[in-house]
Amino acid sequence: MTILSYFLIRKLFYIPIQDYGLFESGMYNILNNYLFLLCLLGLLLLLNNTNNIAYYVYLLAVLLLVYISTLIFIDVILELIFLYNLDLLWGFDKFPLVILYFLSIFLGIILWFNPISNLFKTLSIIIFSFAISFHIALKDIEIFTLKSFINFPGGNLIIIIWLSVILIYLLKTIKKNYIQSVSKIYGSWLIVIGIMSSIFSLLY
Amino acid sequence: MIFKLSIVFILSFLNIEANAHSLVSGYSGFGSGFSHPMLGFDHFLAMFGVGIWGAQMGGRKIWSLPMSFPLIMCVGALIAISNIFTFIFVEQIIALSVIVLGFIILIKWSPNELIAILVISIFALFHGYAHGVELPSANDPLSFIIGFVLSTGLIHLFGIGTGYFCDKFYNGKLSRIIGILITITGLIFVFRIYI
Repeated sequence: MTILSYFLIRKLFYIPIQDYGLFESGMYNILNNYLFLLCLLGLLLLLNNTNNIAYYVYLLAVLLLVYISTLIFIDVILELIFLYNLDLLWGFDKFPLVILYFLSIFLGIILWFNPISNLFKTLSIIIFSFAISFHIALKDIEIFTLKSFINFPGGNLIIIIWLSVILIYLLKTIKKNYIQSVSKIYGSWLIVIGIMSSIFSLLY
Repeated sequence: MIFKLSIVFILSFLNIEANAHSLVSGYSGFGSGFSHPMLGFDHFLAMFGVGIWGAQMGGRKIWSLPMSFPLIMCVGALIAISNIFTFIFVEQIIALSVIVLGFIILIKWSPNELIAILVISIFALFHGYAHGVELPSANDPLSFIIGFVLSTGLIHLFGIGTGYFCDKFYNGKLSRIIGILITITGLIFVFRIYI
């Protein structure tokens, strides 16, 4: 049984020599991007007042669904962007970062209002998931296949889930009143970072 | 445990690049942006003062002042980046902000929320301008932005914590003593500019 499980796990996580490092670089992609981490923390502050574990599972399912769908339909999304010349606003090379700036502004505004409604939380996770998936898809050199998903996008996803679980547990230890005040202050940081970075990118 | 983890977390961001990898500019990225308000004592005291003042007044103002400060600071920084017009007496007004905020804490002034925001907005504009002037010369300006905004926010939170804690002792006199110290330091800054 142990040997069988070993082979199963090995088969699942086996990385061919030519793909070596893509999974790790996917993990590193999240960890070396301050804006990613800040947006993730913003999202978790928003989700902190949820006590229902079933709801967290639902949010994870939404995250996965949007994440994978965006990766599958990336070509269609790109065609739409080119059709409406959205890439000309900041230049296509800056597009992956511009998505994160707008995500940061959006999460900041949501944190200001700190909604209790589950609808807003679901909406936030959909936009968050779409933005990160789009950002990752623009960075990934491979055309999306199931195999490539286990490499670069899979690495990103694993680290997002890993960080989310740790931070949710850490945030649970802090009083809810403090979290609410901090959320509003943190929201203003995210807005400032988003606005300043986008305007700076536009000017320079 | 959380406290220890927080210290490790903050310290992990304070690293600077090895000299072998530094470029020509004096400002690199996140580390420079983060350390700019922390090591610039005039910035530090003004932001610390805003936090203490908010905690002194209590209620909504605990978070409304630290929330407004970075937003107005952003406007100041954008004026500097886009070079629309040049602010004069930036150093002097930053030093003045330290004196005024220290004095406000000393007298425990508790005005209307709008007036309080207006007061800090004027100073935030100049603090933001000072950050914005240095921004284009940074090697990684976007990380610099994230660094200084985070640093500013953390100083606010530190100020709120200190104000909240000190207000409980000796009928709030401990906060007022901090106010006196901030005012004196502000006067030294002004003295240093002109002498």
